[in-house]
Amino acid sequence: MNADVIVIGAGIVGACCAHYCAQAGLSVIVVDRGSVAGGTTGAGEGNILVSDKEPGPELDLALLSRELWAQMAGELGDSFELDAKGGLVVATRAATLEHLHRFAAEQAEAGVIAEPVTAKGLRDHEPHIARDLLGGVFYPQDMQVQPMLAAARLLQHARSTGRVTVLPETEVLEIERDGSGAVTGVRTPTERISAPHVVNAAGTWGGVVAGLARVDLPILPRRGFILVTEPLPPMIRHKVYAADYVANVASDNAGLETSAVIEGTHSGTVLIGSSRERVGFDKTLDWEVIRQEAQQAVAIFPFLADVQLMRTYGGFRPYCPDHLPVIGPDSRAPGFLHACGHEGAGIGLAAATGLLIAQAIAGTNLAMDIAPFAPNRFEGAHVA
Amino acid sequence: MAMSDIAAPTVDVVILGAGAAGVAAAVVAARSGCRVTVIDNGPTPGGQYYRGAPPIDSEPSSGPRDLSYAELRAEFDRLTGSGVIDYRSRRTAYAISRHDDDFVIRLRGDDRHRGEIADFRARAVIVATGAFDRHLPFPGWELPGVMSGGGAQLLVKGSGVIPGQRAVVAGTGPFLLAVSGTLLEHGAHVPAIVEANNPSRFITRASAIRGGLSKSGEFLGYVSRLARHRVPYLHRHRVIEAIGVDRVEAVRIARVDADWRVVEGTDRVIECDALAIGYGFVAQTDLAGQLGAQMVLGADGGLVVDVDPNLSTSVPGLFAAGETTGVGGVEAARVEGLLAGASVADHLGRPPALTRRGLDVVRRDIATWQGFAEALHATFPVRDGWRDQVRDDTMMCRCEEVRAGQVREAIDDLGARDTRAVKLFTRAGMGWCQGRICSSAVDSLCGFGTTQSLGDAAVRPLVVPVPLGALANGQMEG
Repeated sequence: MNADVIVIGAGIVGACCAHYCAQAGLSVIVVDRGSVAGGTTGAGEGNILVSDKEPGPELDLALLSRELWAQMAGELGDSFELDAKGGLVVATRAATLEHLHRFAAEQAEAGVIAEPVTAKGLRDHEPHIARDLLGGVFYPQDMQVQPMLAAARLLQHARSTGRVTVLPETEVLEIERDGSGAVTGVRTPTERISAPHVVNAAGTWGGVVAGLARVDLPILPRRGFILVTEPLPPMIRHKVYAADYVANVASDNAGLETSAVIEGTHSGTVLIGSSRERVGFDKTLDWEVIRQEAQQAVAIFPFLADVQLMRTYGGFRPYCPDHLPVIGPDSRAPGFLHACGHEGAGIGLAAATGLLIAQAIAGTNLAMDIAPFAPNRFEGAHVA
Repeated sequence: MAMSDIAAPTVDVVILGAGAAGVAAAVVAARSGCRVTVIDNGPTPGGQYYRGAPPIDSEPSSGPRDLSYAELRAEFDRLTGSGVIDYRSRRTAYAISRHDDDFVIRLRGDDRHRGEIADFRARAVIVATGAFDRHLPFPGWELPGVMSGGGAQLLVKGSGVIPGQRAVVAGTGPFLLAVSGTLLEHGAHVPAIVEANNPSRFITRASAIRGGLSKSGEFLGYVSRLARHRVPYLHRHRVIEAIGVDRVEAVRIARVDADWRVVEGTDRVIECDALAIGYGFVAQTDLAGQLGAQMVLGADGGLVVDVDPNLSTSVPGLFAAGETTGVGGVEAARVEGLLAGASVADHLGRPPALTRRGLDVVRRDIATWQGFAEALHATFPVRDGWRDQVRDDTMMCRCEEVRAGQVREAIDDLGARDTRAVKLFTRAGMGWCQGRICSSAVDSLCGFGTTQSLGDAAVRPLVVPVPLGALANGQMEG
């Protein structure tokens, strides 16, 4: 078998890469050792957020990506529950509110729509929200998607172009390189697939896949989990979370520390997740963390106290030491590209990542500068 | 794991379940001097079989008299009354985890104790949580008036209400006869018992087992009682459709071959206003699964907890007894409970409560009842042909209203290659029952299954839902 591009990983990032490569006229073979969307894609809540990102390259990527998500939803006829519901960030303390407003003002300068909301105004956005909150910021650009369906529908759509083949249950054993170091294809247990371009979209396992081409990529897993309630009539309209800020004394910048993100879904369940956790998770369920998440959720929506927690689910977020994704050609192995390490933002950032990968392969103008995401940026750096 | 907040009382043994296995295990462990806590979701001890009914001496029992269920239950009540056994009814363990060498068991109360949660720490745990009905979907099974055999028993025995005046009983296994017996006793008419297998082989198989003769006699007793009521006992027949608008009004049955494939031109309609379905039972392995205990496929093809000859699981300090180790009926559960109680006492370094000879009898009885269970499953297996009756529009998951066509689409069009992906694409098994009703059927329809993947997919982080407010407060029971 051969193609212009081999994409390793049939999660949301791999699906977006295949989608945009096919659009650019390239032929693509997507391989995954398991199911379509069987990894971290199916372990999150489907966040497409700008609200939690500070100005910088990741926010630029997020802003580009949300435009592309809206476009894709239009092309595919709303087959993956894209919901432009908006995000509401609330403050429980005066100091937090002050930080939140300052943070929102900085984001606004970077192109984010951020609308300050008074304490009373919170209830116009969310009628069932706690009465003792001090105010917040509304982010109309935040969206939600059913991420597994999105990956599967994008791949289905890509296959319908005739340029994309999807091979689930196909593990890559080796990424082959020629004498000059350029990649020439991959070897699976049953065959050899040749292609001048190989894309590493293996998410949490991106470091392992990089190793198959004998290049280093410091991607580490971080466990996260989500609480799911019984189905309810619609009670929560937006993505709602409380902000907390951890002041970085050295740089005088405030880093956002979020608590539980609470939101409703199409099926009526309420998801209580966390957009960016700074704590590592044990492999087993940590009931103390569940208790805290429940506490935070009830503090924001008191009616949740009587709502039943039905299940929890979890997965591993892939993250890099500098918490930025790895996107683009790897100069150490010509023809090898990476599209992984998105931490908790992989769904949201997938669309822009796929577009940039397709543009890099097709040699067209890049929609944005990808230097901050360069795969070799960790070379020589001390990685703990 | 931060556990400083868990000021939970530490006991020697927590026994999960107060059915025949749990009651027997509790008595034996208490006799050895263990501090025992028994947790059960029912209002009274006895589990699904006894349902709190006072033990009847004529119930089948083997071995020494003081180890009969009636005696064990009486002793359980005495030990509970005197506070030696701490028995908590109407409570469900929703989660269990390890902490150092201990187990932490998290409980919630039933609807009468809504919001009440408590944690226990125990040095050892016996999982004796029984089994629930296995469901095999067919067109119309979601109609009101269609219920599981276990559900029908619960309704009649629990509240004296019969599910209908004309109740067809269908599925496979001798449980159908027990359900029919209960329905007839309470005044229902049973137009037919529709058995998918050929039960005649059961008599030969069961009689070949030492001690099995009484069981086959019991079976024949059921059959003759049904004959007196002129209830047709159809072999090699299945209900292939439940018919009705707002509730079941009739069933379509057909003759099937040995693989349960319909014999063309044999279908006919029987009018009824209720349908009780029983295709055997699925072991309730959630809690053992949360601890990562090794699972195996039982004699009936369902997932069960893997145990050694002392009923110890792959997790040190965790034991399993009764239906969780293999669906084998109430007698197997009782004798396994006895052994688990003895094993847990030994594990904790307590003196034995059973004599060596008593223990030998228990082990011999376990072997007998295992042989009986094997004869049962060999005679009344679930055959692949049931899937032929599943049309694309047949409901698979009633909670989330997922139809078979969606499951097939997830595999054929969306690229699902394991049951987790199928469930996430379709939402099958994600509803209120958390897949208890549909999981085994969805797994079977998908046809992926290795033991490991089925086991992983079967682990539920919460066995039952828990109110967020109760979790948030971390309320402790007094």
